[in-house]
Amino acid sequence: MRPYLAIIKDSFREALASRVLWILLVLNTIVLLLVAPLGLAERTGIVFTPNDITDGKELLNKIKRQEAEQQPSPGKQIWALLSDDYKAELAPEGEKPRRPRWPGAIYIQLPGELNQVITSPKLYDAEAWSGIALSNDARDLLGQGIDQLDEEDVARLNRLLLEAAYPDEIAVSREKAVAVSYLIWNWFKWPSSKKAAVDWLIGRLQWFFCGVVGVFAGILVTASIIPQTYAAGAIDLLLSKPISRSLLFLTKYVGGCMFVLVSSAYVIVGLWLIAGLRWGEWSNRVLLIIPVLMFLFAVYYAVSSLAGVIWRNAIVSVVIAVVFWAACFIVGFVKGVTEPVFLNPKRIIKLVPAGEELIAVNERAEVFHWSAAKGNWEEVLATAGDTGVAATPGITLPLLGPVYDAKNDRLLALPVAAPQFGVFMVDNGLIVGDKQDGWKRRQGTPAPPGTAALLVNRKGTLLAVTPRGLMRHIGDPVAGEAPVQVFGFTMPTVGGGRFASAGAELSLGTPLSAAIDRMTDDVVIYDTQTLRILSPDAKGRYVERAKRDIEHNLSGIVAVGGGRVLLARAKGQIDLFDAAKLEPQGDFDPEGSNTPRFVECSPGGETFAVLFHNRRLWLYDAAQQRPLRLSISGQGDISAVAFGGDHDRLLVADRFTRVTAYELPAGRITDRRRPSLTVFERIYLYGIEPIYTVFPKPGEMSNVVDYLLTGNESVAVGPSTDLHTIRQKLDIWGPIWSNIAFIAVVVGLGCFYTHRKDF
Amino acid sequence: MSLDHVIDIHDLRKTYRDGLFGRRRVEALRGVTFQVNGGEIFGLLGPNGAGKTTLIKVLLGIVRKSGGRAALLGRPPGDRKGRRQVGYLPENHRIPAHHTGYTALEYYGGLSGLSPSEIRARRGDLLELVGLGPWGDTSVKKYSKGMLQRLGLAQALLHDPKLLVLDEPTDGVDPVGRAEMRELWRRLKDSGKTVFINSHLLQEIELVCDRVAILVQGLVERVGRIDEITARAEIDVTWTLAGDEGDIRAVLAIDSATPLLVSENNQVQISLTLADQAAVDRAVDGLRARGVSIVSMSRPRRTLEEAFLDTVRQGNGAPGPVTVGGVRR
Repeated sequence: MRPYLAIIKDSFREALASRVLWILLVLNTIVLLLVAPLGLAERTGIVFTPNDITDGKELLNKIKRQEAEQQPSPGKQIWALLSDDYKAELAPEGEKPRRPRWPGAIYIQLPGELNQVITSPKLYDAEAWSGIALSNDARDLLGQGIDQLDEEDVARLNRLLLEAAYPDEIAVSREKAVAVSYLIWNWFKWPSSKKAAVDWLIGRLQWFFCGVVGVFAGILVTASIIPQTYAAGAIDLLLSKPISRSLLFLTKYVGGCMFVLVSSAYVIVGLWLIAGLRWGEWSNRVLLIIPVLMFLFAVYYAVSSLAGVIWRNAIVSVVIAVVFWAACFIVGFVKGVTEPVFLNPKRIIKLVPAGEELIAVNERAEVFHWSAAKGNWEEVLATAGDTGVAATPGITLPLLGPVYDAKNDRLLALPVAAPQFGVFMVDNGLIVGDKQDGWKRRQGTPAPPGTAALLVNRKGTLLAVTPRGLMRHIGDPVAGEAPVQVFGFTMPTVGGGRFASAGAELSLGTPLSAAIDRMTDDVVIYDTQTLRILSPDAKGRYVERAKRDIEHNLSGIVAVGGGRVLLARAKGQIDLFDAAKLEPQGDFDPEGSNTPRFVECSPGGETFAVLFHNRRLWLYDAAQQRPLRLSISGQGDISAVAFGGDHDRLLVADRFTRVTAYELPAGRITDRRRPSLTVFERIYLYGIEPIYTVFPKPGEMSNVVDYLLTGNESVAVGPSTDLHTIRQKLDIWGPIWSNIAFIAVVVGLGCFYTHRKDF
Repeated sequence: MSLDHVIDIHDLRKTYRDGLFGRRRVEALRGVTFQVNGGEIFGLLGPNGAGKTTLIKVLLGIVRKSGGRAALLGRPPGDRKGRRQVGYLPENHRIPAHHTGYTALEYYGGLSGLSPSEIRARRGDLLELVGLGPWGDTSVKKYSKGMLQRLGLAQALLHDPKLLVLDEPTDGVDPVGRAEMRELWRRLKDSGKTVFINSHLLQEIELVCDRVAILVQGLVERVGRIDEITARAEIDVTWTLAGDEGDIRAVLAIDSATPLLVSENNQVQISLTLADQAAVDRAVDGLRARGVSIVSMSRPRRTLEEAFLDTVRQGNGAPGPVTVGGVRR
């Protein structure tokens, strides 16, 4: 062992003699010194985000109306604090706006304007808020006296005042915000928890300075180690010593890696100390990044070392390592662009059995039905073509539903704006398609503001779950008049039926999730803090039967059936409750901290299915009260799950557009709907994917870093906290195994070459 | 294969393959046989390209043999236990530039299995021994070639090996240093160690080696003690004679056409090659019988260089048959 320790020690000695190393260490020190003055302080519920305004149009209408009235009101107070430009664009009720503008612009500016408004200590006026019920937090802050409050508390108080004044239009704030400062300057507020902000910041900093710059510098510093070792005159001396040739190469390789381990530890430990001492976030997971970075370097260094032992030239080693890096980048880039941009939008994310038919929705919210005659999916409801927005590349227009009304053999759906457009896309109408019309799209009744879920009960009544409670649809959902087109957007007109309260008046936070028991018509609603179950009375009006506060304030999705409620929460925990009193019956975390995306319950409540964002499916046998282990093909690539009209049929979508039916509980495949692949899909599946599979994936080690920091195998793409929203799936183990195999092969070749070569 | 032989080589062959797909073959060793005894200083001589360095590399396992047998301290070439008892100084060796004298010894001592404390205990004395006492903390970048040779010798001695293999050890070393090195080798020999030297400096080999082998074109042309190598069947004799020129010509069978070198005091100087000692005796008797005074008579020995050149010239001619021992007749 001693000879090999001497070799490792010598590698360090050699690297420490390198000027590049010292330049790198100085640069790293400068980076740490620049990062250290950055201040991150967590604040609760200050910043308005587009998500927080559930009905921007009505909010502005109310403000303008209140401004026009004589008596003091919150609207008057707000109006006084809005910017002059914005007020000119809005114009008070009855007046003409200063200049015509695209209607959406005022809604886009609204969160920013409100963020300005809440900084003012002059917003609160006792008369204006008289008669408005304030939260305990707001009363506490007022009790301290506005003059005594600091800047953050004033903003917090004002936010609470606005929430109390406009409960239908402004969601209750539960989000965290991080106030970012540098030295003595306050920069901006970032809607995020401090831990998430710290993880994000450290992830980006370390990946750039260690993963990109550091690895490249490491290759430069260590490139000469192997060629110098194997230079004529040096290798003779080494091979005359009582050491193994293969181990000589291996130890030199390990020595180079260890050197980079120590170098990257310098930066990571520095960042970890800054995060702990400066920002108060002692995230020990950050330290796990150190070996990951060494592993990343080890991939490139394996190539550099093999080139070094064959050609014994440091420049050739560096050039080959850089060429290898470029090859990995190209392969990773082609795969990374092809899948999310061209193929993922076609992925089926929702399956809806509709009588004899099977309806599917893809990531772009296009709705299809399966045509047995053509052996392919055929578009129905024509959502994308009509809305315009969904057809725009890169923009996904989520769709609530479709839900199937078996009584009328009808599909009902609600195109909802993506959260970033929520402020001006509030009055979408339902879209309706009847089977007898070939699922042709018809415009339906406008949905209530903030509709988060559509449900259909056994009587065929359409229910809408909103932050104000449960609404039911009365009358014909099809609109009476044709919709009008404004700036390319479909603006539905009022007609046909309407939504009315279904009985339960609630005040719910967002995002919320709801499900209906297909045997009892009970509705379960979860709003990040409270789980409720509502039952219909004899008149069909819903009353809250039970409720349970849930700890940790996390988004979640629910399913109900067979007397059980399943709640899957953002951090991966799955809780089971009895549907009568919502008493806990067990919990699971089959995918660790991975975020669930969809949950389903079989019609009879025998089986629950949870599909995670890492595209893995977990089944629970409610009758046996244990997880149901079936051999489901495509685990890791499953994008949708549903239960067939029969109680014993599980439908699973994978490989973008393939749907397989399994018989339960046996798990036997009974049917498979597999449309023929397009040329592009063939190129991807039989060309790009295999090349990507066999190629090492050093660039994707960033996924591992993100996973280590968050514990989640998928990351949010946008600011939405709705669990249904698409997340970027992180392939954690694929790159690790692929890189391990690559290192083993390349280093093995180096050992073999050293062993056989006459020096 | 005797255990008394520190190096035992029998019909050793090495063929290098070169060119695309290794189609060109170069026979570096064509069947070499000789032994090196324990406790002797052995010299390996040969012109450039004779295969000397290849032979050393095969013995140390740096290069694989193509055929034949070889043993180093009773172990096969390349055996790690065998190498533990060998100190090697390669020709044109390269000590990485990031080392000082001390750290280089730490590194190579560690490779030989020595503990840091053992190395620290020995390195000072060893650097003194090779004449680098004050230079232990100096970067090897500042060392001259001769100093690097001394440092190379120090690393070869660090782990107290039984056998020292030195490839061109005095290359770049000044005359004083060479004398010190020779003295050191003698002391090592006296302490029971075996020294195997490959050198172009024949005078040096002649001064210090007990036995030598001359390698020419991958074959051992001569092997033996220095006096055996330099010895010849004929005897060169240089005479200074005083007497009648006719008598001298008659006794020494010099014809009248051959001019004699006669000095001012009528003394004749002649150099002759006689067949053997009996012929020398007969000549002395004949001269004295004819009243010729023998002012001086000397028998200059053949140098190793002369013997080497003779051997190489013969070896570079038409290759003769190769004996089992690899020695050309």
